[in-house]
Amino acid sequence: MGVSRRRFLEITAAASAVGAIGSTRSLEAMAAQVGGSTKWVKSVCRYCGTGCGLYIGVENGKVASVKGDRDNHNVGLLCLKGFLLPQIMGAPDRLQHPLIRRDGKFVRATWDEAMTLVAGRFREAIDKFGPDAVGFYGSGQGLTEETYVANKLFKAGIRTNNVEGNPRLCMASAVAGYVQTFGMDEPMGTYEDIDHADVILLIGSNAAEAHPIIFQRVVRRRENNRNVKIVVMDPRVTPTTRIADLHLAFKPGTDLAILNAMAHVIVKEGMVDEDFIKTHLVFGQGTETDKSWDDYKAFLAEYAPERVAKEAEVKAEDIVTVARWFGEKGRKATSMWCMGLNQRTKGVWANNLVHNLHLVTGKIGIPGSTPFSLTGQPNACGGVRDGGALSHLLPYGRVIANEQHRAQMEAIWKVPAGTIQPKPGLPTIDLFRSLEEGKLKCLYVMTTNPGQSLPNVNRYRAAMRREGAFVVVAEAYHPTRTSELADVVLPAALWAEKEGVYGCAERRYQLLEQAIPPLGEAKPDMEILCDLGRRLGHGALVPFKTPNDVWDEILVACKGTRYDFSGMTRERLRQTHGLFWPMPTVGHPGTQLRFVKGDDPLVPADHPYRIKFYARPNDRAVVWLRPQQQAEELPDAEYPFFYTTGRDIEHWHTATMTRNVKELRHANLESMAQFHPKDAAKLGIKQGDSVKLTSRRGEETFRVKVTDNSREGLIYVHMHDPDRMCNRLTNDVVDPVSRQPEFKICAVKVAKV
Amino acid sequence: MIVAGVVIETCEGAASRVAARLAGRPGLTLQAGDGSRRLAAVWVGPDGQSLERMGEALLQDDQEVLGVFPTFVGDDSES
Ligand code: SF4
Repeated sequence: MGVSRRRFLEITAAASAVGAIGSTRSLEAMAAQVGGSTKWVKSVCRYCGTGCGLYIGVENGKVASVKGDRDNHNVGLLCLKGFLLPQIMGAPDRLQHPLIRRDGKFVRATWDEAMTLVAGRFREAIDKFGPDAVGFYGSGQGLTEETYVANKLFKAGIRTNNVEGNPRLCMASAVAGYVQTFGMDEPMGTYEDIDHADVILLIGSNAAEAHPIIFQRVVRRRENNRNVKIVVMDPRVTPTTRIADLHLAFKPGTDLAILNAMAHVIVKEGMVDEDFIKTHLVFGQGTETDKSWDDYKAFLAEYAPERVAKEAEVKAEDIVTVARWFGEKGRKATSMWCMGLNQRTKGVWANNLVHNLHLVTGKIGIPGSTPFSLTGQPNACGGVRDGGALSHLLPYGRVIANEQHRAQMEAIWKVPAGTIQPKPGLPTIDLFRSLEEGKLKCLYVMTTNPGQSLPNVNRYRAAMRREGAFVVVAEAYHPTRTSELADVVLPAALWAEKEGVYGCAERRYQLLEQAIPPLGEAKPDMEILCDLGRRLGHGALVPFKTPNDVWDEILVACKGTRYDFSGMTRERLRQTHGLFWPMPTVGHPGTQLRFVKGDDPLVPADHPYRIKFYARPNDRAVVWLRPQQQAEELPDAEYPFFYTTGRDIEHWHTATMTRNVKELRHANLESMAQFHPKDAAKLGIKQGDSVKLTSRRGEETFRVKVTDNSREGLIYVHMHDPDRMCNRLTNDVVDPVSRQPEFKICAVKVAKV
Repeated sequence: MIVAGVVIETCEGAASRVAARLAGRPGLTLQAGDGSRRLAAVWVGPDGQSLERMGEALLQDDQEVLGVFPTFVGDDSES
């Protein structure tokens, strides 16, 4: 196959540069490209919720390289994690056959032995103690079809609503925030809004590290238009704050006050959209929408910037400036947020307050003006949130507590009326507490690592090893900090070894095609779940042979709902680079601006306004009066420091994958405790020293990094390191509405070791 | 058009952070990194001067970039 001169030069240039840094693997991959022997398979990055499109380069039956998809939203760009994906496939800790724990040791088993044991233990627990004695804990990394099969098997087959997933740790507050304000989940805009925004507000988000390609788009927007203002609200200095026109480094836990203070300025200075308020909004407090515009103005009176500035330890004029940038008429404003807002006991309220700013200014549903929640996982939206695989949900906007919704799903699932239990199951923390109490006997964990990722993790690690508990872990790697606690570990196929759909943060559903067969005896999670279903006597419920069979049923389940994407056939997904829902017909182009006339097919063409919040009574969104509330645990004499955790660019979540990538393993795998220089001086510690951090729940030893990125009085540790687990210290108290834990803030003390 | 291979030298441990910041830079395509302080990239631009300007801009814009070193420069004009 011929190669153009340009392509030849590019390959040679790449080879020379890669050679200069000593990476022979990439040289081989590029050499193969010259020969044209690479087969390119369309896929999506396996890591963050950005959902970058890519092509997998397959050579001799192996994943040899990846390249960014130029026709996708990432316009061919990938961050280094995405670029280095091939290395995760054949890593030495890939699990290739089932394992069973015998006399405290893992021994190799056949699939039949392992599945007979799993099905037997589940059957025994269900027969003796009822269906709620078992549960499923899944993931925003699972493919949509896998998550759907698990949800159906447990809720309609086994008849328990104990179906949870790690998006409860990640996005639950954003979900509840959207539902409370707009009546249904998911952002109404897309990444394209970044290209039109005049003000971009990043709050509780270190997008430069957690969502590099989205951040790149923010940088590009700013480069193309010097009038664009970037505001970052974060207690720490991060790579994201480097591009900020204004960085509000507030005291941890005071963001609700700041958001209300911004609204105070916006209202006081007349930057509101009176018409929009009259025609589209109601006002509420608690759970009732019985307040008025005047009540809201009176509520905001308490949040004068001068007072809030003292409480938050920022400058009042900065709050005023940010509010003016955001509120100025004619300027388009997009806000983006992530775990800093969500992982709190007041996470839902914080989400409500961001929405308030957009609603009272009418800066919503216009290209460049949207409140946009970022997600941490590649399929948190598609599989678990939209797919309804949480303990209180059913697929596509339906809820367990609604009789009609249960009846609809029973009809779609072809099970007798009354099959789905009317009581919601246990949310994540309660699920693991039930295991601790001995009420939950069997837990099936799929594609996630709760033995490292749960807050107050020592407690739940003990629960997983409690006498009488039976834990099954379906995982591509072993050991992980969870599989080491399991009774049975099932080798799951990984990313390029299976097919399915991911839904990224912007309502874009994308097909990941299978590029290579699974390694060793590994199987796709969907097949494992169907096997379990057959062994438990529910074969008729999960008769699926291929992911396509499941997708056909999903298209029926979503039809007629407010998520309707029944026009998104497999063939269309295969041909395109992602499609946006709603998409109720095959000919529909997809929806960029949800709730907006002319774009969203669910808004009638003759609707009198440009926007229709059709998921709320009277088509009106809610401005919620949410007062400032402190974090659950504040520093005191005994535990004098704030402690917070987060992501770094090199590693993804608990590093089960990225620790297998040579370049990433050598970069920041070890979690260090980051101290402000003044704190380090007071404590008499310096770079490289070891310290023991202790909270009311646990302790862990870290080496010290002294950096003025940290705020005085605040210690930051990144979350990935499996050997130094930050979650031994974090707080497992939860938001009362979303049941999302307070990962982001707790109090610790420091001892030099 | 000039097609060049370049190594971007960064502060120790900063390579992947710099990579994230460079990911969308027009004309520059990242190829690999050593995980610590060096990135390999391909740069395409109108002429050699613009290659120099790009190097200077990188040094100026990013305080974690220590140097930009061409490893190969080729001319794209088809004969
Ligand atoms: S930004 Fe996220 S989705 Fe995109 S390449 Fe990086 S890790 Fe993958």
